[in-house]
Amino acid sequence: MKNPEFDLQSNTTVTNKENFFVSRVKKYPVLTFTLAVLFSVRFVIVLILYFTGTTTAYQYSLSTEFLLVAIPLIYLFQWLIATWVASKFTRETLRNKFYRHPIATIIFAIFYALDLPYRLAESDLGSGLLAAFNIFEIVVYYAFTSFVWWLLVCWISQKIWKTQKLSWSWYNNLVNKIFAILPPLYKFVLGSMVALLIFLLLFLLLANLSGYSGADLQAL
Amino acid sequence: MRTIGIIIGQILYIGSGLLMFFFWLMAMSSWLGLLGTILAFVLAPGAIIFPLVFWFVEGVFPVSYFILWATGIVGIVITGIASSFDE
Repeated sequence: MKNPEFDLQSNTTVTNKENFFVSRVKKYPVLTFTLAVLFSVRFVIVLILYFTGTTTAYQYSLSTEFLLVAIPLIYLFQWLIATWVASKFTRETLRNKFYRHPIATIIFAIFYALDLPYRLAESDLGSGLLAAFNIFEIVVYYAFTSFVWWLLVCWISQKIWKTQKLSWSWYNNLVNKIFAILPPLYKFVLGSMVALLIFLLLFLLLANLSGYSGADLQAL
Repeated sequence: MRTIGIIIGQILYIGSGLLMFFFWLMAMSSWLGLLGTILAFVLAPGAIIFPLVFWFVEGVFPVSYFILWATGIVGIVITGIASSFDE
């Protein structure tokens, strides 16, 4: 005979597990959407390589079968880390952190801006829309890793200097402006890229289905 | 998700609408010269039915314009779905 108490507990556990992922997705939709898009693009490329029989070295001499398993796991892990870091801050606490550490922020921003072109130059970006996605991915990942390093520096600096030493109004205004501009700008860039991807996919799909020859465009 | 969905949908239907108007303008000026260019602006909403007009005039089924049309409709659908989401 089943123990009703045990059943109740196991059901609750299952519900909690579901809620963890669903609540994270609902709480961080932009983060989830970003990683879902990047994962989809990367995964589809590997799938195409797999089904066309291309024995790809991809970038690190790994087999395609391995990549098919590794890519979802890596992106899931990245999503877990990113949402975990995001869960530690609200917009206001993050803004206050930026206010409190102007020197570290300025140094990291300069390093980021100076180093990013080199990071892009040393990567194999591909061409067309794929290059746009690769550039976007590098920019976002490098920004995230810089952000984590910045957090570490802020934490160390907070341990050394207990009170805030510097406060500049122009810097605070700049932080406010960046906090106002960056979220819509990010959404617009990501949205544009996804819109372009949808357009290309639709065009390819419908053109293949209808056996498009380009006769209508030549008519004008 | 709501904002990004709306952005994607709007880019799709506004982008395809602008492209459709561009092709409408090109076609009208090709068919009627300067008068066609002026008429293209006056009858700008006619760009919506441009694939049908082109098909009727040229006798060639305009696949690319219908694809553009379909893209616009997909954009409107995405915007509609995204608008129904909670922020």
